[in-house]
Amino acid sequence: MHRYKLGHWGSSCALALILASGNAFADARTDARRSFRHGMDLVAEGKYDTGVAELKKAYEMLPHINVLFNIARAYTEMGDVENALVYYERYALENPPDREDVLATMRQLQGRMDRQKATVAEAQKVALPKVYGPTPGSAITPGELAGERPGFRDEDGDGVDDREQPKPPKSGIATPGSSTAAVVSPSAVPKTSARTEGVYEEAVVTASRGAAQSPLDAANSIAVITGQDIHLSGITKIPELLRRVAGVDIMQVSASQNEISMRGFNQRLSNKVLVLVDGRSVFVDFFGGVLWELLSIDVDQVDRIEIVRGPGSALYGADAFAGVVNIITKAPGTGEDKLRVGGGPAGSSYGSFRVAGRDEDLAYRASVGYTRNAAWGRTSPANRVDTVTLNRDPDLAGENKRFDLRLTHPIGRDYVVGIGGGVVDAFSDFYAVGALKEYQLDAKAGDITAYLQGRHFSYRAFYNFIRGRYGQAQNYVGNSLDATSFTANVVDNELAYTQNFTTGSFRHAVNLGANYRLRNAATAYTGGDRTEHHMGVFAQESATYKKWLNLVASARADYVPYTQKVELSPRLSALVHPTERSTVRAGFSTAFRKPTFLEGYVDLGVQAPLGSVQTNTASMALVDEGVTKRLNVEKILTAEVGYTNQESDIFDVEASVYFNRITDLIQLAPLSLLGPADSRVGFDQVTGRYVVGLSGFVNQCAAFNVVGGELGLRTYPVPGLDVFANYAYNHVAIDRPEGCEQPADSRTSAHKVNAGVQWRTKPGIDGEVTFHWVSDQVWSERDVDQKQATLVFKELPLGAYKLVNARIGWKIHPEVGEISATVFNALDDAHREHPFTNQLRRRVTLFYTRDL
Amino acid sequence: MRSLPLFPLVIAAAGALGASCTTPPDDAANPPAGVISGTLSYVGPKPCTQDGHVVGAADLLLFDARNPPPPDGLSTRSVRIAAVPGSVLFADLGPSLTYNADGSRWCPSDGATVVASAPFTFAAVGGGRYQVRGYYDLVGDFNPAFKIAISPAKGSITGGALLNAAAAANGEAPVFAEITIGSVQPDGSYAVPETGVHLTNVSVTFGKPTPFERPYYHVKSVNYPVLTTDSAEQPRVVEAPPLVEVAADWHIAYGPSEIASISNALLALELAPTMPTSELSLAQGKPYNFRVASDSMFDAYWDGAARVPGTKSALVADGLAAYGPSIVVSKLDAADPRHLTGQANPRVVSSAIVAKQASLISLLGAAQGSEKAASLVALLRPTLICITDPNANGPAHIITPFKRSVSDQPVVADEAGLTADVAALLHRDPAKTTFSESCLIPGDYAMNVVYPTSQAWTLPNEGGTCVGTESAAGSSCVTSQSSRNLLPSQGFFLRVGKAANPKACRDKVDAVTKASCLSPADLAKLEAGTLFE
Repeated sequence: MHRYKLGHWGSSCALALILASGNAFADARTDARRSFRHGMDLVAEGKYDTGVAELKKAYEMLPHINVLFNIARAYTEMGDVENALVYYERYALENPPDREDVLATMRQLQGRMDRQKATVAEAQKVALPKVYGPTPGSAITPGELAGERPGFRDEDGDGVDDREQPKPPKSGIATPGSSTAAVVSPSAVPKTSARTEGVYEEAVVTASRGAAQSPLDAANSIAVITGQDIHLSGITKIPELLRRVAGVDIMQVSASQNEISMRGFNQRLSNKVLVLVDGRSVFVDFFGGVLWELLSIDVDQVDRIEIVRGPGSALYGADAFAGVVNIITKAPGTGEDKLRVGGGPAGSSYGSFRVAGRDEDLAYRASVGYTRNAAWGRTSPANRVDTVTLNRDPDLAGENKRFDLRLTHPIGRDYVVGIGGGVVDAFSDFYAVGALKEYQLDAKAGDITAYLQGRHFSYRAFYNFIRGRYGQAQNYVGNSLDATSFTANVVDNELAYTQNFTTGSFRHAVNLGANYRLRNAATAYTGGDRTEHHMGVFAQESATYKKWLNLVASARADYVPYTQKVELSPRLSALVHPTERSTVRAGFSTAFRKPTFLEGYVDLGVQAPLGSVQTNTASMALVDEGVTKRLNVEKILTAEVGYTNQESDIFDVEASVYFNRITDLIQLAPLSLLGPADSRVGFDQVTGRYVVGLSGFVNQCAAFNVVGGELGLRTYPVPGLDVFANYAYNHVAIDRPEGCEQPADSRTSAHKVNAGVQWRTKPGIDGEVTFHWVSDQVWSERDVDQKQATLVFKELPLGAYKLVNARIGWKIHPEVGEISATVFNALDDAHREHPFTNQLRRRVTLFYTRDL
Repeated sequence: MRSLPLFPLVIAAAGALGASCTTPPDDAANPPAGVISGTLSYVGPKPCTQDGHVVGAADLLLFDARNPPPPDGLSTRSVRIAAVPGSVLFADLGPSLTYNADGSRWCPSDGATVVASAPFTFAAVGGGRYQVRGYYDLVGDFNPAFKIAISPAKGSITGGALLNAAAAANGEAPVFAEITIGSVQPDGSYAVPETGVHLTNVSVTFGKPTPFERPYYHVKSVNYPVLTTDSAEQPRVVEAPPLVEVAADWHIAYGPSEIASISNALLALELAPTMPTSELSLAQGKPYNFRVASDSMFDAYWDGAARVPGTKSALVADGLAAYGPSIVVSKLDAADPRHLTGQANPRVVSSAIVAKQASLISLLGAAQGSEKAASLVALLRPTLICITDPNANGPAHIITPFKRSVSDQPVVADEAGLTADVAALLHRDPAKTTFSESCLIPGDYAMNVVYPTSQAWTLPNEGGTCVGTESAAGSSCVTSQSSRNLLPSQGFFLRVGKAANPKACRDKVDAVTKASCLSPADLAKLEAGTLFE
């Protein structure tokens, strides 16, 4: 057992020793990247032994296929062909795109080694080993690997022959008697280039429609929640993972539902961020926004989350108004089989089981899971005699049982086909708009997705469905819960084409595409069945000049059936790289958000506080009445300048400044009383209430000018320690034309601070602590004045709040598993994130995880 | 497996964590309130049918017992409405009702009386004491949104939660039961327990046909008061005024003891019980369907005798018309330019002296006998009553610009008696009812004629002004879907205008008047020095 004297070693050295992770459970991209770069530098200097050791260390921290290639290449350069072949084999087993090229290299190497051995053996009359190498087109299996190698002994399962190996002589000529020597002169082996691009670098796919790119080349401000963030945070609610991102507004309204927005204008049923899962929209078109309990995946299926801040309609069409969140799951065939279970107070529980693997070329990933979220507070205690509730269990905020299966299979060299689906049986509460508050949804939902991905062409189709029932969670006895059934269907088809070419000093990447989407919803709130057909075409050209300048131009045209107009969404960006790993980015873009089904077609009699009186909330009726025009899409125009620097191995910096102009925001209209001559006035025989007025959704008359910025720093001072901090500023100014009486909008906090520390230690103890501070807000909301029995507009201040979340875990042993504890709101700063929604308190959850 | 002991340990720990923490209540939830439910019993004629359904509904109105509608109080708005559809109430009648194939209205002609019952519920009722009143709207034109449709029509079957249901059915004035939600606190308010309150088995009976038509009226003429003691000065008469304005510091010329002169010192409005000739046919047609004719009369009990014990009027002692129509003037909300919204808090009202003829003298000592009147005269004094928090136990404050007339007579002979009468009318503590000298509160005022049956007609109303989504187009109100002609006479309102001496008025505003009579907007004007200008 080692003893460390801190005074002697120095605290930072001791910290480094303690923190450096010693096993592959740690998702330590930054540490692995540091080791990888160091190893490559050593190899380039000819220090192969130490260089290979560093590369192996990097691979051990975080397996990456290209590291295997580079180890093989290093062995080749140092003349150790046998080990080179081992690592080329391991690389080929991962089925890379250049598998055939690598196999050809291996055959070359094997052939030359065999000729070399034959020469030696002829001299020594030694039996030759079998010719190694598979027949073209056949897969290499570990069994073949072992069978083809007489005497091969791999005791620790790392693919390397554990029999004592004599060091190859520098001349590369085998010495007599060394029958297992497999040395070929370095000059006799084919030269290959090092594979460094993308190794341990973040690669994002959401900011463009082409291949994965570095965030340094992204035309938008982009952030990534990595697998390390997901693991070390211990968070099981996907939207809570986004809280640490500068410029992202997270509002937890209940234990099951979070509302997200970017750079302001968050709301109940937030509808300004497009959320994707592997590029498939999970935006619920009926309400707008995402119902998180309806996802068939959980955090344990997530590889990373990419967050694009700023308008994204140029690529994604409607609803990518303030930004895009793309939840990218672990590819089929990758990752460990895993079981994770956890529990917390009041019956909160979490369970996830995943299997992934390959059956020859077929890769699969299947998962099942269960989550139960206990309510933060009983909005209708069981002993109340004046209220009725919709749900059987007032302690329950949400629950889901989920299953997900994804499969991929290559077709030839150039194509991959994928198919999969998920289904979930869910219950969730959420908060509606206006004076309507807590709602509950009981539904079955799911998707079927298929795609064909090729080098130039790709096609993707998905079908999302929801079948369920929703209504007000509770109301006073005698008032209606307005419960009704609900079905929704989305069928989406997209065809895209990608082509790269060069003209002079410019490298071009062109992406073209077309999309058709059918969306349908049927529910009483919108007067029955509604169907719309949406179409869009998009194009993007990215021109790179000598690696330091990149110009990106994108545009998309979408036909919006509700408005019967075509919306154009252009985007122009210029990226300058002053150094290899820094970027100055300037851009201009627009986006739009189409009215949701609820906004466009709502036809609902909303009971007034007076009792048997209602207002008809019907957007089309307001149009018919001449009170307002047909809804326009919401629009945003953005100009942004950003800077990203990843030059250093120990810190990254990102900053951005933006200006948004937002027009035609859709909101609930003030109540318009009906006149005595209106035919709708009178007694509604269906609801049993008197109709007295109209309301609906209208476009605001005011525009908003928003100025803001984000500044973030992430540092990795010693291996195993990550520290991050960011600050976001946002200022909203209202621009009212004459006659417009729209009140100012102060719902967005002017200041937000996020900070966090992550650590990973050799004994397997890891964790994270994050701190979030949000400055005060003022919400303008319609609410019921029970005393006056009227609806009134209220200005509701919400004080600043802070949130400290933490997790600590201990990976005891791969055979034993990991235990961890996660705390949300560790300081128990009881607060609401919207004036009407649940009060959030501290909650501790314990987990057990085991890789199988 | 070595991992096994950990797995149940973690689950057990999580379970212990879960068992030890229960879900706390969320204080943003719907606050505890009262629910009043019970059974409505109906005794009366069969309903009509139209368009495949039963016409009308049973409309139950919940009033604060401390502020009931006239004649028992000054409330013009219920705190809750519970409607029982006719199709529900008369569900058992089924085969005995006829539904015309073309959807036209069918009404029974056999005069049969039926009995029906159905449950009802008032939800989200705050702490307090309440009365349930209401009626079955046989005509089918009730609408709580419109003043012109909120009062029962002739023939509607009225009632409520009564203590004397049988006697009321025989013509005696109803005595309404008081329903209490919560427990009374030292300050007079009512606190609802955390579990809420649900009162069940409240019995409501509708059985008394409304004997009168709604008290439709228009202002035929106005006699402006004389302002001096010069006997040569005569009231200025204006025919069919669209509005009547008096100064905030109107100084009444004579006191009530000066019988011969007092009538000329009051603002006298002659009310006619129908529409002006030029508006009659419009009023009788759609969408108004006013049941008026050229020879319509006011209905009321004019014989001056008390009909039932316990019903009282502050005016009885004066020997003036008892149980005839009440006329109440109430301040409108300045924020509503269409003059359709009453100022909720404080309520500022005044009760007029009601005469059947222009002259006060002819009323005294004469038993009227007749239950009809060809016209009414509303005699208004420069007096206002300010009620803070009408549905609670707040103070009431009486103001008049001058406690002594121009002729140097007391404007109110018995201040104590006055405060006691007002307190009784408003169901308030006499100790909290005060009287001071202060100018009238500037603003616009509605005028309500109220029968003892609680039927009321208010000017201004929707007949005289465009509403909500309607736009004015000449003498019409139009939307993209509908159009109707205005009835100008129904747009009449009273106005307390600027004072002759604004500074004096400002100086007279004492602390009690400020707290009791001024809305936030009025306070702001007072601070800015513009309230009486």
